[in-house]
Amino acid sequence: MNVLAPTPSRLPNGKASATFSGAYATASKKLTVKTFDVASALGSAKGNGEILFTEQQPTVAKGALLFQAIPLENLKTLLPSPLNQWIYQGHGRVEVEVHGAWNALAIKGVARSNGAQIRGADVALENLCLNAPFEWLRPTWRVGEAQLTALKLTYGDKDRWQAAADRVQASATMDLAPDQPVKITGHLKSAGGKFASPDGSKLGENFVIDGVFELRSDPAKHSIGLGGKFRADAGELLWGKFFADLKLQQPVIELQADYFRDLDRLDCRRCNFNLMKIGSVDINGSVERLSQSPELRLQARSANFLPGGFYEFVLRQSFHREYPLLDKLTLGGELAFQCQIHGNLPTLTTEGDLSLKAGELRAQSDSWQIGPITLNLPFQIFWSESPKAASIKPRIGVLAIEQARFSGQSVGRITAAISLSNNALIFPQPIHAEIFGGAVEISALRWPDIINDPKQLSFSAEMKRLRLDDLTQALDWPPFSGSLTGSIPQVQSVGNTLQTNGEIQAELFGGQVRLGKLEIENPFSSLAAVRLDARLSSIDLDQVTKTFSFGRISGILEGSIDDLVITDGQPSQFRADLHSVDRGTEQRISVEALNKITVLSSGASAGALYSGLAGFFDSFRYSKLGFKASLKNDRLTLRGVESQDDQEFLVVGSFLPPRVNIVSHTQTIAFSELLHRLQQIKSDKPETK
Amino acid sequence: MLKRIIFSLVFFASACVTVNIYFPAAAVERAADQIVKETWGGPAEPAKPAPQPQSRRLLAPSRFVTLSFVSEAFAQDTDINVTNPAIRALKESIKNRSNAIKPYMDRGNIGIAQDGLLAIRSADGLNLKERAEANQLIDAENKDREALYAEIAKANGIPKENIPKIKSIFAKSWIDQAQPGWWIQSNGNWQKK
Repeated sequence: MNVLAPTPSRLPNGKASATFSGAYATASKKLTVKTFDVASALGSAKGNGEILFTEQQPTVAKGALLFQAIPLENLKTLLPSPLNQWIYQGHGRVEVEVHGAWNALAIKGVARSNGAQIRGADVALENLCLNAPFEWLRPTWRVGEAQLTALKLTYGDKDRWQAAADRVQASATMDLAPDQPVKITGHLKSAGGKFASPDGSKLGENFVIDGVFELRSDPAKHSIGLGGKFRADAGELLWGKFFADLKLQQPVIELQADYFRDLDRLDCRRCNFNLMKIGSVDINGSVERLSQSPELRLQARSANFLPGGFYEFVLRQSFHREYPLLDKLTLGGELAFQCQIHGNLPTLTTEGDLSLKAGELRAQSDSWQIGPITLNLPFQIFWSESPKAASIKPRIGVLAIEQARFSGQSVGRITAAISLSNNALIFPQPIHAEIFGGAVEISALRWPDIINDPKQLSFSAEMKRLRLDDLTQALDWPPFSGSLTGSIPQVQSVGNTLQTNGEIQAELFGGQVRLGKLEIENPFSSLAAVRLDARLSSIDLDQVTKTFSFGRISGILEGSIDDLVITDGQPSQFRADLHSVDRGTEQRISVEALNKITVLSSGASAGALYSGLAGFFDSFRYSKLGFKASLKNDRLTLRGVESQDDQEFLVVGSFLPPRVNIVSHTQTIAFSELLHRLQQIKSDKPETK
Repeated sequence: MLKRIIFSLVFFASACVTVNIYFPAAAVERAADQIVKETWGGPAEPAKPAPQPQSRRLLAPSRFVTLSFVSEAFAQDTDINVTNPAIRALKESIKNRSNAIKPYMDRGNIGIAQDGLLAIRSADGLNLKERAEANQLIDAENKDREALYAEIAKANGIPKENIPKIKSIFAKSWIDQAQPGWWIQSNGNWQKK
């Protein structure tokens, strides 16, 4: 490995000769050098001057030396490796002025070069212009405000990472004194910067970078120090699917670090990275064995990290095509964290504390909102495939949601203990929420490994007397009456499915609905499917038909819906057997309900027929109604509550008049046709008689 | 006794259950043509009536499980089901995204790979923002297409191991119905249609 280190310079090999002419004035003890010509491997020089011999030491009263057309290639022996292996094209010019006593000569001058080209193994600089004033005042060399401009800088080749800049401009000042660290301070600007990964999937373009830097090389400590502050005023970044326009974020990095060559260790005294709309992160600490297998001991902290900015900048922009839902969400709040990062790459351990204040999750339409959210979370994360066994008791934090609002319904304050240790995110105590006039309690909520398998989770849930009118209003459904109570002792991820044990019981429409075998397939995808079985008992048909504006049917309904799968908000399959039961109560069906059942089962309106009959009757008695139906692949197979020959009776009239039968002959209905019929009965105005 | 045993063996040998595994290739082809047209082409046409099964096709190693006793029975090559809420949602998603993808196809930046999925053919003329958008569109579209093939298999009881066959049939439809001027990958090389 090439490590940065001061390297002794040496002059190029070759002969050097000098001729001069002048005159010596004995009276004034002054030697006037009229011409002074030097020829050496470094190039040729011409000069003149005056030397006084009036003092103990000869003194240069004035001296000037001009090195012209110095081949830059000849200078590379003065440079450290790997610079001395590069190719230099072009010439330089050095003007030198000398004065002072022989043992305390003061030298100053300026080195210039125009249009030079430099090529290394991976680096090329074109149109390099240098203007470097220098001064030697024994025992110190100083290069002051050297100006360097290159019109094109390239690094790398086509099979490796490449970087380039259209223009690089640097000004630098260097101090060089014996037994003192070499110090270079300066200002760097580059425009038109770009980079590319070997496969072209990671690119940067149009970078405009401006900053100041300080380089310090200490031969005694074998260390190199780097400090500086750089800002990207512009630039575009493509990283796979991620795109960033840095003009909007104006990233700034401040760095104070030392590299110790003998120890191969980097000490980061301070590294601050700031993005305007996200916040800043401070890092300090050390990295051992930097050039081999880096071992990190770092501290990171932030006091103003904005999750909303991170969401907009990184997540939403990159994934909204895949998850359009992201375009409908807004995040708010401010995060602070401090943590230790230690271990070898890539198996790092991160532990510390995270806090969120004024957090908020909200629909852009403002139809729902959760927040303010406050979180204090101690955490311990292993960035490896197999987390270490927890050796200490996890520290517990607190999550508090002050308020949540869903379509006019609001939930009061929710607080929960929370821990994130050994990659397991655990809510050790039940989470209790007062909602919809009742309560929901989630217990044993746990993600066993949020780093390597974030989709795996388990919990249990209990719902107590949730008012269905409030719940259905929040879901924008027709308002149901009744309440929902239930217990799901276990919800667990199995592959891509959330499986449950237990049952949810709803007091609904005067009866009961029990929901069991609830499963959610692909719960974290845009095509989640809910699967469940339902058992209905003692449902008051009068309440049902009123709720759904289906005319009026009195009586009691019971039955089951098995294997119900709801995908994308629509039933995709089920097997249903729903039928009336005679409990001695009145069983009547209105003309409007008859008409709607007829439309649903046949597609044809029986309005004319019923309106004729309805002239005499508002409703009819029935002895049985119901159906057996199955839906699969958008085809609904409908059978009646009774079959006779090829006739399927959906409604069987009673013995007593007025009585009516509805007989279905069509047993298979396409989903599109069913939608059409539902639309038809929805648009039909109820017939009032 | 020996005769009886031999007779029994011959009887059982000739009376064993034959399981023929067929894949409804023709029906999937029709479904693919229809879905590609609905999502990326013009207005959908009603599905063509299923042709009468040809013995050659039925004998091909496609998939359909039939059981017969002694004699072999052939599966009916009827239309497969290509509509349920999941398939509809995927078709809708693909259709909605198509208008965003087509300009990149027209400019030759995105092409149709041999497997029928989309791929970046050339980034010429694209700035980084457009490249990121193209990458995002391709990623989302390809995931939807793969999910669509899996849903079609699921809806029709086609085993998972035959999903690559569905993908291959769809690939042909995507390529056949590609607009003139779009780029198609063939044998690893891009060609303009």
